[in-house]
Amino acid sequence: MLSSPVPMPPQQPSDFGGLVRQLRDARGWTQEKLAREADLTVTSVSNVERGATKPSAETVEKIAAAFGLRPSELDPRRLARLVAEHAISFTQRRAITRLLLDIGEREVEAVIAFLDEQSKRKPRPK
Amino acid sequence: MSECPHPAKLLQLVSDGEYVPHLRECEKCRTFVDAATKAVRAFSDPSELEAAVRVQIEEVLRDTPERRWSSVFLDSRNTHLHRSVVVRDLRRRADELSGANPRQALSLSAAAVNVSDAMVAAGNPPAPELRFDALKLHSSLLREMGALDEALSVLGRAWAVADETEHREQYRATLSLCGAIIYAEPDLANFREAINLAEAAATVLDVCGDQRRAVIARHTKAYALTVMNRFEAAVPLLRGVVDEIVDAGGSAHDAAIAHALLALCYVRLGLYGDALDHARIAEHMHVELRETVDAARAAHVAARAIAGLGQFAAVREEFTRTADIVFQAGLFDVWCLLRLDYITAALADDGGADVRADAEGVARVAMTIGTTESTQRRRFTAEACNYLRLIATRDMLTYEVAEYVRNYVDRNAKQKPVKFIPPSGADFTM
Repeated sequence: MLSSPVPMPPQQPSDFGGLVRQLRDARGWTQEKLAREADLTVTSVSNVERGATKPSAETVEKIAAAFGLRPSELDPRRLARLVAEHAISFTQRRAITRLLLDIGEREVEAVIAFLDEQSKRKPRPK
Repeated sequence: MSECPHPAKLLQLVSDGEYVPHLRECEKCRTFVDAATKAVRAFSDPSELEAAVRVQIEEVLRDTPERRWSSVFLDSRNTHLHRSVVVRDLRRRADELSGANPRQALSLSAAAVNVSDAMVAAGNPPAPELRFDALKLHSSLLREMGALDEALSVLGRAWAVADETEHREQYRATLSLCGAIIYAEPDLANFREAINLAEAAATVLDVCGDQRRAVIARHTKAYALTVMNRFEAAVPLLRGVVDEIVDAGGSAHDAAIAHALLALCYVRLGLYGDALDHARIAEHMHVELRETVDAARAAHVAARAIAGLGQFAAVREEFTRTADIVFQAGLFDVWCLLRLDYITAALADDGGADVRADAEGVARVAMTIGTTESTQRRRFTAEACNYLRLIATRDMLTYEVAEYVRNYVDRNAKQKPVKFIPPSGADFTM
């Protein structure tokens, strides 16, 4: 068992693809979103996650960059910890979402439009 | 207390670091700014917030039996989900499921419409474009499930919503196209209305620059013309469709279907060389798309064209191969028609051809098919195929009678079922 200061997610697959999927899920990203962020095709992401193909060094680098990591940080132990951390922030995001939904329609749409505007201003990850 | 600013405006002011005195006196706006600030920190773009909403929708769906999906969002505990972001998500889910599981897709599109209606009733209507899209998809799924009257009624509701959109004429033309497709369904079979609506839609959509839908409208009109046996009128339309469809943004699948329909028209007009060209193009495109059954159906049309060119012996096996693929896919009604094509082609090639076993097979399958066709339609088709079998058993089957039965079965599949009447002059009593 890995010792970790944060609660571990229920499943800890030791394989790279499984961890990539858990990290993606924890962020609430779809495969399309990860593919976009990593500049890969959806098929490539799907293949990596299912372990259907061994990812090239370039693919690993791109996936790492999409998650804001260095390729050397993409080891199972590090990923498992990240999944757990994201699981916590996921709970927080869930609470924020519920709060926004409770406030009202115009408010939700205003935040979506604001986020859209903001993301357009951000530089795209390389 | 001063009037609450629009949330978007308020968010912009706060983001720009402006002092907003209203926030000191309004708790609701303070709560919003607090939640929005947290949201902006937690989510890097709208898709992440939408994903978080999706999780909440999934929880509701997971805890609800499928038969209640359409109404579960109306429960009092789910009023926080009466939001446009939820309507968009339910609509997207329905759209994604439409091919694989139309029944589930229909439940989800009904849910999207119900949430949208609840928001209208509460005085917070979603944008008319979103309401329109939800209704249009719901109508389309109702059509796929055979609920044609209901599909038309939902289109009527969308028509009223189209008036509220910025591009009213284009939205209405889109609805006319949807209406044309519904009227061309076999159980309504109002082809004149389908043609009128498709024509009107194509004209407006051309002007609006919606080339993709304009081409689909012309394809729909051409289809209705072929069902009415007006092949000469359908051909120029379909030639235009196959030339334009890809550039107009249509899918390769749609292009392949148009080539196949054009090939069928040429077969019916006796222009077998042209038929073969377009059938081969359709087959190639379907193969590329890995659409095995559609590819087999296109190859079957090619076989009919080759038989028409006087080379029936060369394609005898091809008729069987293509029909086998259709049979394995469970399309038994289509299989019957393909085998009737074979019997007709065999008799055209040799008036004395022994097709008794083939006629027996068609009659047996027609009697037992468990397709989604209406019972009456199935019974009438079975009666026609049984007539063919009896005639063949007595060595009285001619090319003319086989073609008569074949055309009846084809017509019966595409139009309202009409009882089979043996050809006039037939000296055989069933």
